[in-house]
Amino acid sequence: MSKKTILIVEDTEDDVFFLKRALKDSGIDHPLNVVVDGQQALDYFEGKGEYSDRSKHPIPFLVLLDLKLPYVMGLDVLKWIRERTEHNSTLIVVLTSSQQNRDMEETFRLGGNAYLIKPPSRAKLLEMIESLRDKWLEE
Amino acid sequence: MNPEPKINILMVDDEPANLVALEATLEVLGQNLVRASSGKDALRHLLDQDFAVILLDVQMPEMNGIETAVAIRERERSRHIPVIFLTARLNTDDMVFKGYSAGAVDFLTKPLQPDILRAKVEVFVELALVRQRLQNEIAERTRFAAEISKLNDELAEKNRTLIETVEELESYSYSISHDMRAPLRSMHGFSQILLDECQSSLSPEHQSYLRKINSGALRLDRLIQDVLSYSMVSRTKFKLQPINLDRLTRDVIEQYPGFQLPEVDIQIERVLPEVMANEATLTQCISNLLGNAIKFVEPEITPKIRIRAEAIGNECRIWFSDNGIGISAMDLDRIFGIFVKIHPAEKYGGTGIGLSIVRKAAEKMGGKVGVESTPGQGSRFWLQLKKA
Repeated sequence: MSKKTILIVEDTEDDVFFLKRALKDSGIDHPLNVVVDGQQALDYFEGKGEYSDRSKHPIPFLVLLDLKLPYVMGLDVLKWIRERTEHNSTLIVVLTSSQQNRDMEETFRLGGNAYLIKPPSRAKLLEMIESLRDKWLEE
Repeated sequence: MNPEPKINILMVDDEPANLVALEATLEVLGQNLVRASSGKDALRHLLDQDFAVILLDVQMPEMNGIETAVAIRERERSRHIPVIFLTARLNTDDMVFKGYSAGAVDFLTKPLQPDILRAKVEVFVELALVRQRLQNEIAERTRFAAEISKLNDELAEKNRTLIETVEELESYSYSISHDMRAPLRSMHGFSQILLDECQSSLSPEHQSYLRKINSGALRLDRLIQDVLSYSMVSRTKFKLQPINLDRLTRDVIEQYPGFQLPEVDIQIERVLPEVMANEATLTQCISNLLGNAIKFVEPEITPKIRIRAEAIGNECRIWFSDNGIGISAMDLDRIFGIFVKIHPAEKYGGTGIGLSIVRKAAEKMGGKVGVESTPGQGSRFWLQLKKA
C-alpha cells in the first residue's frame, strides 16, 4: 500500500526546496505535494480544478503550513480545515518565521497540532524535521 | 495695557441748573458724567449704557424719581445699579419708605453739600472700578484658560498622531525584519549545501569564501532576531504577576544549551524570592545576563557565576557576579545602550542588543538594571524588581 501524502503550503520557493531536502535527508519518503498560496491550499482540499484528481492529489495526512501566505493567510487556512470535521485526522503543523506569541496562541486555539519556527540553519531544520518524523511518521 | 475706561455716572434732574451744579461738583472725579432731563430720558440711557451710580431727583413732572427707580429695578440690565435720591425736602416717612423699596441706597437733601455728595459718589465709582478690574481679570483668565485648553487639545492630538506613527513604524519594521530573514535562510542554506556536498571540488580559498557567506548570513539572522526581540519587548503590553524567580532561574540554567557543568559553573546562593514580573520577559532578562557572563571570559577560563538576592525596601535586587573580563569605568555608562559593543565582534561575537533588551524589559516591569565592575576582576550585574 502506498504511503500517505504530505502537503506543503509555502510561498517561498527556496524554503520549499530546503524543506523537501530535509524531509528526504531524514528518510521521509511520503509523496509530497506543494501549493504556494492559501487559496490553492483550500482548492486542494476541495478538489477544485487541477486538484480534482484524488489519485494525484489525495487528502494529506500531514500539512506543513506557512502563516504568511498570499490570498488566504495560513491561520485562515487552518481555521477552514478545522471547521470541516471530515479532515479531523489531518495533522497540521505550522512552520513559520513568526515568533509572535499571538500567532502561536492562535495556532493552538484553532486546532493546529504543532507550531514550529523556521530555523536559520539547515542543520537545525533537519533536527526539527527528524523530531517531527519521530513523533508522527514512525510506522 | 490700555488706560482704564471711564466710569459712567447718570444724573437725572428736570432742572438744567441742578444738572450743571451736579456736574461742577463731580467733575473732579474725572469720570464720565451723563445728563438726563427726565425719568424717560434716564431710562433711555440705561438701555445701552452701564452706570456705577444714578443720582435721581425725586420731584420731576410726568414720571417722578420714585417711579423712575421702580422702572429701573424692573429691568434686568439696570437692576443692580445703586440709586441716590436727591430731594428738596424729606417730607414724609412714606416717601422715604417708597424710595428705599424702589432700591435707593441713600437720600440726599437739597441744597446738596458738595463734599458729602462727592464722597458718596466716589465710593460707588471705586466699587465700579474694582468690579471692572475684576471683570477684566476674569475675562483674561478665561481667555488664557481657553488658550491652554486649546494648546492641550493640540498636544493630545499630536501625541495621538505620534503614537500612531510609532506603532505603524514598529509594525513596519517588524514585517521588514521578518521578510529579511527569508533570503538569509536561502543564503545560509545553499552555501551549506555547497559546503556539505562540493567541498572536494573547491580550493581552500573558495571554501573560505563560502564559509564567510554561510556565517555572515547566520550573524545577520541573529542580529535581526535580536532587533525583533527588542522591538517585541518594547511593544508588548503585559500585566505583572508574582513569579517564582527561584524556579524560573533554575529552569533557565537547566534548559539553556551551554549553561551547565562542566562548561559553566552557575550557583544560586540561597532561595530567590518571588518578584512581580512577566514570565517570558523575565526569562529573557535572566538568559541574556547569564549568556553575557558566560560569553565574556578569558579563553580557557571556566565561567563561574553566583546569583543572589538582596532586599531593598519593598524591592529585590538580584545580583549576577561573574569571573569574566570585566568592564572599564568608561564603558559602564554606555553598556546598556542599543548596538553598543565594547569588544571586537571577532573576539566575543554578539549583536550589542542583549543588554538593551534587559534594560527595556526591566523598565517595562517597573524595575531597573545596573552593573559594577573592575576590568580583570569580573562584573556584578543586577536586576531590581518589586517583591511579590
